[in-house]
Amino acid sequence: MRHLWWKVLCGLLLAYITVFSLTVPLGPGVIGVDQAALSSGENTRLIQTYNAHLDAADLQVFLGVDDSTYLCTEILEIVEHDRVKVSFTLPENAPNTSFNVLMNNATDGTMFFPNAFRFAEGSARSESTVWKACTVSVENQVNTAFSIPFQPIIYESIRNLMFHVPMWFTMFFLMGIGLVASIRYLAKGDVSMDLKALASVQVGLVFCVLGLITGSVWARFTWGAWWVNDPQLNGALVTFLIYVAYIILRNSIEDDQKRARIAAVFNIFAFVILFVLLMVLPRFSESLHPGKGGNPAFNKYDLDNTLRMVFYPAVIAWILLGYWIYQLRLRVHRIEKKYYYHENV
Amino acid sequence: MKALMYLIKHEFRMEFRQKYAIASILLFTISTIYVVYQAMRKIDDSKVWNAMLWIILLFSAFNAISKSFSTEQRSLRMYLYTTVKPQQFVLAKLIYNMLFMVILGILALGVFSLFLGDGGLGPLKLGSYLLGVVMGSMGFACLLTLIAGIAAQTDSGIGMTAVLGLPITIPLILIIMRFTTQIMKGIPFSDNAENLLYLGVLNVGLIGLTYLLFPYLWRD
Repeated sequence: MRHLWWKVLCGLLLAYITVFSLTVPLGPGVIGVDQAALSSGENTRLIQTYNAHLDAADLQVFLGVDDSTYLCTEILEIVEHDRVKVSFTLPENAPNTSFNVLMNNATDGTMFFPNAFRFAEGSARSESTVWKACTVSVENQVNTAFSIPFQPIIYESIRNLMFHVPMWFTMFFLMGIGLVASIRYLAKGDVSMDLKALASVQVGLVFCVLGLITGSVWARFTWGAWWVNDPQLNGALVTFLIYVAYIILRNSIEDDQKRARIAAVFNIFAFVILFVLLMVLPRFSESLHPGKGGNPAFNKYDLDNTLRMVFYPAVIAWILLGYWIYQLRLRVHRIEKKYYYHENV
Repeated sequence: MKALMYLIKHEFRMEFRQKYAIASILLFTISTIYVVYQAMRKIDDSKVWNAMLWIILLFSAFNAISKSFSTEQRSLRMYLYTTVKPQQFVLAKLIYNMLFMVILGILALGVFSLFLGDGGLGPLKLGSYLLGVVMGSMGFACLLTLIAGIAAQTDSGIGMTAVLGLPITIPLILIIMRFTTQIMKGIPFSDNAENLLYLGVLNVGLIGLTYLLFPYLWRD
């Protein structure tokens, strides 16, 4: 029973991340406004929020251009708990620029929505102009409630982070096992190494497909299309094709020894190409994907402590699950060898 | 070294003795270009021109290199097996394939621009484009030599080259396409040279891998 500890850990972690990622509410945030274009003089706009406590007594809404340029608004009414109607008068010297929306209250902290409004009827922007039509200052408060961080565009789909990203980590882990097994097969000629390479590639392919599916769903939600032409996505698809080719290659050779040898050669060759494709190339070209082509990944800014509490366990849990399935698969191959060929490997 | 030179010479001699093989490769390339010519006449859009040329070069490379291990007779292979090291053998193959692909690539570029126009390339950018064709063709040779060797060992024969090779050529194609599109856009060579560098590094890496892995293929 003692050697099962990591399987128990895997099950517990999976249960933890599933419950956590599906039940913890998303933090408060601003989703949008009813009309983006502003006119000079008085404006009345509806601001749509998500999971925010608009009925709080200390609610304040600001329009901001930068750190020193703010405009206060008057809150007219709260519509259906999630929309707030505000009115404000643009000052005489309002620049032609876009305005951010900031919202404050004690429970939700400061909610920020960049470039909510734009103004095109005023003067050209002069940097020296500072206007502050507020009597209260904007506070940068932190949301204290236990929640998953609110990210514009991503919204609730941020929960997918616990499923999509670890799939690729697991795939790389398994393909890495396959690579080591292939190298060791060529060095020693040990048949069990060939079975290890086969099992790890098979399970790795399953995780590759899962990664493609979860990624595709996420892309549909955030980018608007099931598939976009992107270096990172191309890399993922080519990975899939190369390992399918590996399986096809194995099936096209009858002789066991020869199959093992040639498949090992192909596996090593393929892994090196994949490394170039996935690790080197995306860094030099533009990409929509987070973490590539100058885009920020979920770094220390986005990945706050709440998310970290579940993301790292998720990575460990999925890798353990992948390794577990790989072991089962390997055992099936060994039993087949024993049953059909009476070989103990 | 002497054996290497001999093997390269041997490859060339074999190729010229079997004139139909070389003729079939040339026929494939030229007739593909002609088919494209019939379909599109003159291509003015530099993007389409570039893409067409590289698709033709890619398939010519597959056609040419997939033959490189299948033309040997079994008896000859047994003889070579006992007399030369596999590393020497594969190096000779690599060098021969590279030379052959470079010649084929330049020839294809010439015939292609004869039929379909230069796609706005002009004489000024031709030099760096030619460099791209040379490096790209060498890349195809480096990549596909081992794949053809693997495919020749399978029971389904050289048809496997396409199945195994097409996914693997995508990184190479991506780098070459970026290099050549930037030439077409008129970006100065100094800003573009890093792509050529990646291509060179990739080629050297592939040669190294082929050198290391081929002996395992040959052990029959």
